Amino acid sequence: MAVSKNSNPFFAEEDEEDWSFEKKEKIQEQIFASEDRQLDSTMRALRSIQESESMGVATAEELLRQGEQLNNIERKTDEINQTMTVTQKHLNNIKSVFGGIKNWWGAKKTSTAAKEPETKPSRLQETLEKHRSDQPVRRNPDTRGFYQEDDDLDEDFMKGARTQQYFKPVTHSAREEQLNENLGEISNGLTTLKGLALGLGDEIERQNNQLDRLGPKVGKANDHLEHQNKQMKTILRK
Amino acid sequence: MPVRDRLLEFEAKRDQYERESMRGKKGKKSKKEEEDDLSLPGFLEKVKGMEGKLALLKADVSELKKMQNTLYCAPKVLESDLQKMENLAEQILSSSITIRKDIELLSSAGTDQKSQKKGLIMSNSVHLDMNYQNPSAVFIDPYFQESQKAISELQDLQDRERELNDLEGQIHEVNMLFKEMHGMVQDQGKMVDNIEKHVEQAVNEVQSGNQQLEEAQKSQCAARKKKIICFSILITVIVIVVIIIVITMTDNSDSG
Repeated sequence: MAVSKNSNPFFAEEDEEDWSFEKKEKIQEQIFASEDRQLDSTMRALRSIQESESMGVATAEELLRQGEQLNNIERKTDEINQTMTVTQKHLNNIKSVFGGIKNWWGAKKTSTAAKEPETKPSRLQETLEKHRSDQPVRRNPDTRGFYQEDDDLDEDFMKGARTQQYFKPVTHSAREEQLNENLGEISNGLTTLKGLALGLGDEIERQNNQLDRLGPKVGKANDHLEHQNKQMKTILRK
Repeated sequence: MPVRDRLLEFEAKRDQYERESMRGKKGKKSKKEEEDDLSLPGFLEKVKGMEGKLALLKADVSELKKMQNTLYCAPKVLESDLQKMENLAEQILSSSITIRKDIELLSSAGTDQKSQKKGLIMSNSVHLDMNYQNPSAVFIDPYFQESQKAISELQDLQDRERELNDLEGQIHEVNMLFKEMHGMVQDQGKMVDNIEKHVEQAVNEVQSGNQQLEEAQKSQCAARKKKIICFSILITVIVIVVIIIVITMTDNSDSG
């Protein structure tokens, strides 16, 4: 091996060492930085999900309350309409003797009181409530502490059963494990959010339909009122 | 810089590689066979072809050197021959080592074409370096490989980072949506409260109105009855009066 290293005019020993060693270090730094950023990103995402969850639950509770209110409103409006028919009968009686005869004749018709199926089994309410009751359960994932005390095969087995690799690991570092855990939690959180969102959507749709029914009913009640008011005015003037 | 001592390895396999250099064509064939067997995309094949060419070049250069030495140093033929044979053996060894490495890269990198390409480019540059330097440059190889591995790791990590950022953005969007929804439900809640209050009032008022009408109807009935009674009394009285008048009139006419 008599050939000298300096046969290459561009060759410099220091350069060569730097190129492979320092460059590798720089790349390592970048790798660490990237991993840190990724971890931060997942933490932020997790916090965001938790916030969404709590807001979703609050919204669901509020919606349910409003749902009850709407049911109430529908019932009351039906009541008004029924009472109106009775008042109309009275008014007919008051107006003339023949009105009374008309009433007997009309009474048979109104026996078929249209009772709306208001009490539809709102399973949506139930799903929302289930989510609400699930919340306190899910907020205690610290049962892991009990497992770790054992330091058994059990723990590893449970770990293996629980964890699932969400991405192709690159550096196999501890941070990647944490990242994986976070992604798992994100996945769970998103499932909850999805359930919440679906429940909310269903409830809102139901309420929308209810409102569509309510509109004409209230309009009818309004018309009755106006009509009967006029009648009373004319009677009183006489 | 820790350097692997491959000298023993070199010396042990020198004869074998000498034989391989004689059957240079066979070596090429085996390489070509490997090319066909692996069936890589065009780019990788080209790079492999380049390497084959470089190996050929090296063999030629070493042969030239041999010829030069035999020409200039006639009496010292044996020693120089030995030396050239050593050099030739080492160069051939190194080229076969790189070929082996390429095969390892190809078989280990699997479907990751990017790192394959990188690996081949790296091995190619190692080739070029070794053209200028002596075979001891082979000792730098592990660092090349490691830093090349690190580079590919970094690429993967950056890709993943991008995807995670996208995910975070979407989750943030979802968060915004939930906030909006909450706000809307709150606003509408107030309206619904209002409606409920009014409907309650309306129900009460209508019911009391109904009661009033009932009373009105009753009193009207009663009034009507009284009216009828009065009327009928009046009529009976009038009838009686009329009868009395008629009777007295007839009585008067009869008696007069």
